[in-house]
Amino acid sequence: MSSSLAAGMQNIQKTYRDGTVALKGVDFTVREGEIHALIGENGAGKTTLMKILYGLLKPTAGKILIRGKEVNFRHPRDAIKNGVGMVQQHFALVPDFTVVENVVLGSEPCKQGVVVDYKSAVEAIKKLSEETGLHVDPESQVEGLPVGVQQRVEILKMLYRGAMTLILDEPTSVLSPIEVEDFFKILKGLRDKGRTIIFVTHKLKEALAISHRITVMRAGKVTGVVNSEGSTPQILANMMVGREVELKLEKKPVTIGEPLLEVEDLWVRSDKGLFAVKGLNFTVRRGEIFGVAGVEGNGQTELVESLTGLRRVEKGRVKVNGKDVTNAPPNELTRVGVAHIPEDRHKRGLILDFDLAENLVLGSQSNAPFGTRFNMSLETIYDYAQEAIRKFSIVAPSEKVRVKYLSGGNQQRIVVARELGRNPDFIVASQPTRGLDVAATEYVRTILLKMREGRKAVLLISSDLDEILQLSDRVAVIYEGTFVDVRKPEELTEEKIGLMMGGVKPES
Amino acid sequence: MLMQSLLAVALGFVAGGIMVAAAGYSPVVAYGVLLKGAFGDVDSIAETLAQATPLILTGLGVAVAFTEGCFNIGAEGQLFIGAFLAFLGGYLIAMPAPIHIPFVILMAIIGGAGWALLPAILKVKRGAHEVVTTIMMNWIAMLLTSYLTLYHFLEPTASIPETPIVNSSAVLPLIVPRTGLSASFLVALICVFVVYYMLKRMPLGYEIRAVGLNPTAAEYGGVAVSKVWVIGMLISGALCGIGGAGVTLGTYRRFVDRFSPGYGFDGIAVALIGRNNPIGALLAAIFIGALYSGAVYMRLVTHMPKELVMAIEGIIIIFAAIPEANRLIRKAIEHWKFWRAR
Amino acid sequence: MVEVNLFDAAFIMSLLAAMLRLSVPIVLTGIGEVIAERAGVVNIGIEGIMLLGAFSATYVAYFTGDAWLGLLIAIIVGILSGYIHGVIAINFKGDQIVSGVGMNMFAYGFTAAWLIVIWGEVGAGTSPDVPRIPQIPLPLPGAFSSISPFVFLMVLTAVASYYVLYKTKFGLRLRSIGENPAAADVAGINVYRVQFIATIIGAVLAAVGGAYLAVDWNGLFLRYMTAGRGFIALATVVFSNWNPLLVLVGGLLFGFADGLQMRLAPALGVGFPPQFLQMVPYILTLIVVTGAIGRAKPPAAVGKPYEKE
Repeated sequence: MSSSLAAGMQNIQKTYRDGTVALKGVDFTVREGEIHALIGENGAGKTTLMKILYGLLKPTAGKILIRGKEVNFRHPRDAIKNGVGMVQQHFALVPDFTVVENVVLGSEPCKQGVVVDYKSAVEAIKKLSEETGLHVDPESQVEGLPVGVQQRVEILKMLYRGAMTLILDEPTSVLSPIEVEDFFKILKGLRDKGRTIIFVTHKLKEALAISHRITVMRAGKVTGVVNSEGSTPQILANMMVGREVELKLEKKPVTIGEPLLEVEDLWVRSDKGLFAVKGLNFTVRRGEIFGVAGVEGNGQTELVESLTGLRRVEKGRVKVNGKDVTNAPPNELTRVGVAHIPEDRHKRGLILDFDLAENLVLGSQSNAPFGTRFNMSLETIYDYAQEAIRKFSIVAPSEKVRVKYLSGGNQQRIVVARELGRNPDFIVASQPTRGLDVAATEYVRTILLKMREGRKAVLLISSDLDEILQLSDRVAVIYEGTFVDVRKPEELTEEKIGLMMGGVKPES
Repeated sequence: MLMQSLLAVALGFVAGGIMVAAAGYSPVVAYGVLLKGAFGDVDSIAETLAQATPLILTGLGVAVAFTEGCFNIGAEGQLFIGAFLAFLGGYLIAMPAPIHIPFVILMAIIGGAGWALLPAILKVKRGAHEVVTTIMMNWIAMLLTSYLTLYHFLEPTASIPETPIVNSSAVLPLIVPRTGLSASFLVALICVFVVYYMLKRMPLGYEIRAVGLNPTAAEYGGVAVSKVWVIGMLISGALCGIGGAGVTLGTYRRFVDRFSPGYGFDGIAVALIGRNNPIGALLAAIFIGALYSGAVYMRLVTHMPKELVMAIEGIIIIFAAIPEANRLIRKAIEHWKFWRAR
Repeated sequence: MVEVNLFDAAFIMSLLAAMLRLSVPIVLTGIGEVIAERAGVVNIGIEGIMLLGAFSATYVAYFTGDAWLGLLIAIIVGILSGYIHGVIAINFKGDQIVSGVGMNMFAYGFTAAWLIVIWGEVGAGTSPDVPRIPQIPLPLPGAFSSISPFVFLMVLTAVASYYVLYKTKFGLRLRSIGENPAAADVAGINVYRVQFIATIIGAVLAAVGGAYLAVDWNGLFLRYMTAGRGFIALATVVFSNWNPLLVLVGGLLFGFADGLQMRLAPALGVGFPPQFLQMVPYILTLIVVTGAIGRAKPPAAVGKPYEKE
């Protein structure tokens, strides 16, 4: 492994137009011929940093050097010209096209500059396949290929264009354990042939197994760079997760009651058809907040959707208050007493062009007291809205304002007001404080605790560890569709959680 | 929002003015005559309102469809079927007037809604895009009613293909004599308020609006999206059908083959200019009705034919297509994703 | 009742000749729309653009005496129309369907109005006769003694489009935009520019299809002369599964049905209503569009304005 740098990023900063700071001055170097892992939680900034390296994003400040030469990437084209290629988490493939068409798109070999020379392209692909072990059938249609094979196509795309430095963003998230073995063999092969690999992941064991060096990021900064040899998951977990804990909210002791939610052997598929939830078993009782922590993409979304009537349960059972509600539609779940604070309030939770009052009654518009099947009592609805504004401390010019003009925090208050206003027994809160300012965050968390004191049950899914630790009575960490473990928050340290989030069950 | 409509209309007028000038006439004179012809005296105003009547109804129909995110280009066909069924109800059956009139209107509703049902179901069950299906239904409706008129209900003494008159109990009486303004205008006004009430105060209206703005959130909120969507289409078709009945029972008192000079398409312009709002549709319909009725006079003075109005409408619609960009794309994409996921 | 021997050679010949003639506008317009939609842009206004092409060709042919010049102007009109639709759909990311509806309405109104402005109230909404594109003489009897050059153009366009779409670099990139514009963008393709070009090509073909109606087939302009052919072209787009060669097949089929209907009506007797035969293209379209004959798969991103991140 040489000591010359394949790529160097100096003091990279990235601030978006709306003010969010994604990167706060990051230095990142990769040596030629090494496999370098870049790890961190969600929101740490790893993907943002790599998108900058690949020319998809422009840094607000900072320098990029490729092999010692300063470069200015305006588009991935420029990056590729300099030998840098990236395989993103969401593939940039045309499903309708064949492998060869996808590989050559944009860099087509042509006869007389017009007709695509597929024959030579197929030859080239076959040669690359031989060399690297990335076997694909060039003539097959991408749509029908398993995700693992599609990934190979993406990599071949980069190699075909002569990429010497490959950035892979969470590549093993679409692979089974056996495929991961083969994949690592291929990576080592690529490295032996002189290529440099940057491996973005949250999986600690894999990072240690495959890489030479590891860069750890947290909240837009680099917290450390270590050699894999001599490092342990514990050390990495600490660097990944350690943070100051915010104000501790008051959590009163509550007697835990009978089970409200019972999940038995739950199996749910993701959009891609693979199982995202693999046989989950758990119970949430009255007076309890059950927190589910974990890096996004490990099945949380599918779990939530299966419990709120938005996704099919393939196998297993869901019971609320003893009643079997497996695959029940949203309005039936509401009737049984299930409330849902969705993770994407703009898509699922609110109708932005409706006003505050209209959003408050979504789902109850034809029920008493808001109305009957044929008539809505607008007066009751608007009065109720005024009440809710007061009760839930919503800051809004009036109950007639269109929700899209309100801040994220106030929008979330409306969602909370609506869901909790129905006096539910069981609340599914999915990333409930995402994108909210401190005051709103405080508010939502306090409400959830109040629910707990009122002997309701809460299922809290959050990628914010503070939140999970502060609010939950029990914490489960989800990894690849199952719970790595379920513990009491007192028993957990940041290091232990970091381990679990990376797929490792801690000893003690 | 209002600004955008006014802007589109203004630009349409400017374009119209250019066209008039290109034909060798003064736009000022032409528009002046147009305005006078539309609003100059009581009879003119009556004519304007008479011209507006079918447009109010098709405009309402298209507006309801737009509200739920659907393109009902089939207003024309629904208008024809509604008109013909109203004719049948008025011709074949005799009843006392107070019962007969609601009865024939009901026939029109069944006709219009029924004609919208097929495209609605095809969209919901098979994902067939409603633009193409409704346009095909238009042509089929025109040919079907043409056939029925020519081969089964032809008035032998008539110079153009039309049916005999309906029974007098089914006729909508004229409001202003010697003009085209019949009680169908009142029916149209009633419909405006019914639609207004539905959209604002009925849960169905709430759900239609929700489905149009954010079908994902609506579904999540327990709204039976597909069902509501189909009902919305049926209402849209029913309104257009009533529009056809209005012309058949009020203006002509019989079914005239190919009687519509494009009321269905004017309805699209009305809905767009009126921003899918029932009151807006009423005003927009009167506006376009004024254009058509004034165009007759404009023709006498400037020889500009009334089809010019259609051209102006077209330009207004094109300008109306230019959006508050972000909002429209996000909505369109959301809709697409939603229906694709089915 | 007129006796017609359906297997009479002359009848078949005239039917085939009619089929070719009737299919030209549909095929040309349909192929144009396939190209546009393959790049992700929907243009419902092709009915109106056909009409504008027909009218402008008639106008120029009348005043210059040259049908070819008329065709040229129609092409320019097509470019302009395509440009406008492109600006609205691509630059302003406006509603593509509304823009198309507006264009149709404008064309209907404008051409009908200008017909009278220029030529006064001539006949039943028709223009005077205009010079026509000269037909190509063939050494064949009867209906095939001459043939329009547009028939060759139609076939050539179908074959050429197919070739370009599926064999060339340009075609590959265009198709990728209609399926996954984000992937095309990352691969370095200028999405907006290609979409614009595709839209203009589509509009030009529609205008040429319309011009054919005026200065070749009929030799005059008739009010509303496209009679919904633009919409039938939209149907053939679906029917063909967005494949130009199949648009040719579909167009010929529609042309055949149309020609048959025209000849069959007198044959079946005065009593038989022509309306039902006239309905056939539209009912056929409905069946096609609802996927009753296999599921047609449109380009995945068609109609969606592309937003760069």
